[in-house]
Amino acid sequence: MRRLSSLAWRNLQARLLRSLLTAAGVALGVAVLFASLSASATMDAAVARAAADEMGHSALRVQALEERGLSAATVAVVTRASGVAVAAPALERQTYLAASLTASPSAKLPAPVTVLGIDPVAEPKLHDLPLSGGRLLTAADSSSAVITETLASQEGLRIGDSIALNGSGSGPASLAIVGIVTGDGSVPDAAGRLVIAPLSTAQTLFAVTGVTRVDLGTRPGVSADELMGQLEATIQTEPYLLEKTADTADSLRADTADFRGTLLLVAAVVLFAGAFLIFNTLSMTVTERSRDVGLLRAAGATRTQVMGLVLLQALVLGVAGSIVGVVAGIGLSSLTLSWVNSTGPISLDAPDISLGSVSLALLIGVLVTLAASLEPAWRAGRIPPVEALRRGPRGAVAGAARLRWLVLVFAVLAVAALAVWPSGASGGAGVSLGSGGQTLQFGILGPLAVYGLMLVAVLIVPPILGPLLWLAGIPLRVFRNEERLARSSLARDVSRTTLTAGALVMGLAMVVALGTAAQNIRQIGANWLTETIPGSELLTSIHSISPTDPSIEEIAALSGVKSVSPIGLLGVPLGGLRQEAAAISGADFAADGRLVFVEGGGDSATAFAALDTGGAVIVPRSLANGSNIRLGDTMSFATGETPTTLRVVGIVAHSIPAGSQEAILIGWTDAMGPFGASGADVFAIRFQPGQESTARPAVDATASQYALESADLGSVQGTVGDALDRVFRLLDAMALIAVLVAGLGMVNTLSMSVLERVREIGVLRATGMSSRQVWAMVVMEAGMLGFAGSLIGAAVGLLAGGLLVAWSSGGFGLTFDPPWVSIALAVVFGILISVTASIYPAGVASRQSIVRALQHE
Amino acid sequence: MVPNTPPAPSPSVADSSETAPARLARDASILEARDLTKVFRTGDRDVEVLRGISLKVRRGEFVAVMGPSGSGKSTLLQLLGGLDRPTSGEVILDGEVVSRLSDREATRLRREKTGFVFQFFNLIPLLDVYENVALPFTIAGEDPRRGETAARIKDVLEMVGLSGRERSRPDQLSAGEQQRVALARALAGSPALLLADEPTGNLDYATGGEILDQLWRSCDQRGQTIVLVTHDARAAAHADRVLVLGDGKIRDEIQLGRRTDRDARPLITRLAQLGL
Repeated sequence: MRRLSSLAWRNLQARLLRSLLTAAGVALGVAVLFASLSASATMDAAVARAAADEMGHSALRVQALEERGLSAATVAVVTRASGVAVAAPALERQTYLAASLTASPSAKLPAPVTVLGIDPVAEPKLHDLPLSGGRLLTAADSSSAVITETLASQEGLRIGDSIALNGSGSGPASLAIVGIVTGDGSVPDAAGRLVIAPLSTAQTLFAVTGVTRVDLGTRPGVSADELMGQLEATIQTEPYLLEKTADTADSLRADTADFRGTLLLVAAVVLFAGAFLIFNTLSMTVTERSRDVGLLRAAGATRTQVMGLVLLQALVLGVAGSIVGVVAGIGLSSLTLSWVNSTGPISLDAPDISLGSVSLALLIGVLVTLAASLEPAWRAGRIPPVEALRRGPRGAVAGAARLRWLVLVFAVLAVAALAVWPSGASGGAGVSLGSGGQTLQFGILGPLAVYGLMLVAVLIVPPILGPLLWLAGIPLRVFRNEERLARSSLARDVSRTTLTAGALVMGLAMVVALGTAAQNIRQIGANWLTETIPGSELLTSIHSISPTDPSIEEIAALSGVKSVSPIGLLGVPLGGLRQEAAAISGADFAADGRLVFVEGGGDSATAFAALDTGGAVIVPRSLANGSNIRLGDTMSFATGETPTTLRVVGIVAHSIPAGSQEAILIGWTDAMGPFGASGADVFAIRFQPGQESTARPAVDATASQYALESADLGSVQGTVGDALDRVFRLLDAMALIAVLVAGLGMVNTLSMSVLERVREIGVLRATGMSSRQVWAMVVMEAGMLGFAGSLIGAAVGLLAGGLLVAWSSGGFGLTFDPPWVSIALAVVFGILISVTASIYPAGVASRQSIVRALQHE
Repeated sequence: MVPNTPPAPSPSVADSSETAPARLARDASILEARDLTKVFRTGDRDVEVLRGISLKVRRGEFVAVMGPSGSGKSTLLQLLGGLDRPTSGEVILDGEVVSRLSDREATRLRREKTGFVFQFFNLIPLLDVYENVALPFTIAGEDPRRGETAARIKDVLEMVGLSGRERSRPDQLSAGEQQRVALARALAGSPALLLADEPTGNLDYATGGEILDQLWRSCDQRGQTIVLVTHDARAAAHADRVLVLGDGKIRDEIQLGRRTDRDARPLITRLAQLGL
């Protein structure tokens, strides 16, 4: 040995299993961390790519808010703006392929296609349209189309085939396919089913004269902001929205920020559990080697040299574990992304493995390891040289030291997490309800509070551990000696036992918290729909239908149908931004009795009547609180030369979910007047009491004839719930990794416990205890520890889950409904992990030679 | 390291031709304890283990400290070697007041001026024989495989009869061999003072005798100053002088002188007179 530092390496080798298990614990924590960082980066990249695909090379987009689109006059004004070099107008509408509709009229409606009508000359200047075959459209084309590879593959179409599209005009329009673009195309909402046609052809097909948007390229030297200023001064005649590429990306990114934040919280918990493992391992090493350390000190080694030895061991474990963790994290990230599969309309590709994510994960892994090892290193340095003369190992770690260490590691992890916290519109952690994007947010305080609760839980473990162990031993009392010896072994080093249980507490708590949150948030989502939709069945259309359309009147006249309430979802300009709105029939909602008005939020009958009259709006509490809106205030909407002013006639606890917002509610008079709506895209069906089961089939059949998709509210709730479940199952799986890490810690602890009792076990065997009884004693020790840790973890998890639910319930007044079955399963899992962890140490203990054990020093 | 000069022979065989300077050098103390006390707190009781012990050890002298179990002899050794601090009093080693040094300075002193041999060998199980002996040098940052250091290590290994066993690990050695490694480690740095705490306590009669003979030779042939703590009269008989502790004080001082036969009978007789 040329340097004292190589003693650190030898220590690690001497206890190879312990070193490997500890490095594995670090690796698991870093794997989850890297997976969350990589998934986050991948989602970010996907969003940026989608935004770039959507916006292409355009600097600015003028987006219509009204359904009828931007008028030709507005397009002309925009095109003539001095800063504009290229203006590419486009019309976007959904329809069905005529062939798919006629194929089976009574079957479920097929997936729609999106038709994008473009200017064939201007569009390619701002949007790349990479071809996989054929050609692009030209100015001479009128009955040609270009489709995406995805659509071609799904419908078996090739260049030269014809595609017939249902339109609003006189029957289907047939277009010849002249080209196929690669992939899904540049319209995310189309889900790859995109048909690109000349603008005039699309306008004729859908009997409109307006356009959905105009993408603009600027002249050299003109910035997007300058152009925005020019346009805001010139477009006065109708409502519109100006978007830059960054704005598009930001709004797409908003939903994913919440999921990413929650994933990061789980990663922090797993890393914290890993830190426990490090601390315990190094503490055991210091205890085991206290005489060697005393000798080194007696021989003249300084405290710094001794501390350095311990820190060096930690560094080796941390670096090795972090490297393995990053490699494992790549696989975990792939699994995560394939499980999540998409973020709303944007599909996710292979995981983003950037040098930044790798470096960050490695750095945090090593930092946490070093932070976790500081206290044992400090303690080793404090070992006095006289320790060299002691026969036995030193006593347990003091409680104050443990507290200092826990707080330090907690702080390091919290700072690291805050440094990498995903920025997003909400700036917090939460969950999106399905692809619709409704978001329930916990805020940054929520995760911090949960994390802090974990720390407190671990700190209170020592006083309650004893009674819990006694309790856990009750069913095992039939094995008198083994149970008593197991319990006394756990009491031998309270600090070590506490930290071993602590890791299990954290992992279990996280699993239970997520399960509790999932159950209750699912309920919140379901309640949200039940509280706001006046009916038990929904009919949806891909294009607007007038509330007085004969098809709707026909459905309303069916036997068993009480009412058909039209709901039109639209965007309105409020304060320069898009505000989601829902046009509703006040009379229908008044008759239905849904929508809860808040205290001081007006009278429902008066409010609904005012909506139908016009000039009125009902706002959700979230918007009222956020924008300081009160009953009686007026809200102004930029709907053209003359803004539209609506009086606030009601404030409701919750409103109809629309996109990532709660919609403001307006009457049909206003919707179809200044706001330019042409009809409803959702109809809520209320059935006569007791007649739903008989009336529904007729409603469904009639709806299908008119290309209305029917879904009962329960199945919509189910879809939302399934999307939530998918997300929470992933998070639970990650949290289970923390339990696995705790299991690794338990192997280490029990192995050390067996090592310390070699002679004692020899005496027990010599006085008649069988090897099976010795085996049982060790397994019982693990089982009791697992029981205590799991029980505490479940209790803490319930509390944490309650916190998350309270934070996100937004006043639904939900009765806290713990998922008892899941919690019981989690406790059983925790005990099983502990017992499994004991198998190897129990085997070692039971197989010891009695003679050698008695001679052991 | 300061070379040790041989101690003065027992007064019965003093050489009258010795010169004054030689006598001065011979009489110089390398270790002095002044009125040492040590109190341990156990539970809510204070236990006074040492009660005002004063002694001097000359360069190259071999001193044994004897006493019954609980007499404070190991505690005294720990204080003399700077492993622990006295409750009151002073320890001066080679001109430095050990009891007043900071931890860093005491560590340096241990590294440079003392060597320890413990009852339970205290070898680092992960290191081989050579590395265990080289430990003080490695701690000091020296490369133990080069130059004078390597030569010194080779020399002490030869002295204790373990040449050729450099690569063996402690668990491959007998108890006696392990203690010889410990002795070699203690001697490797040519310390001003070697402290041995019951070095034969864990060894059989014959092996223990070998260790004691090696200690005596290091003192006689190389002038090593040794303080040995033991309860075994046979071990103490190797010393030039024996201090007998009782109740935390020095009860008696027995001059034996440097003797090649190391016969224990005179000492045993004297101890019997003391009632030990």
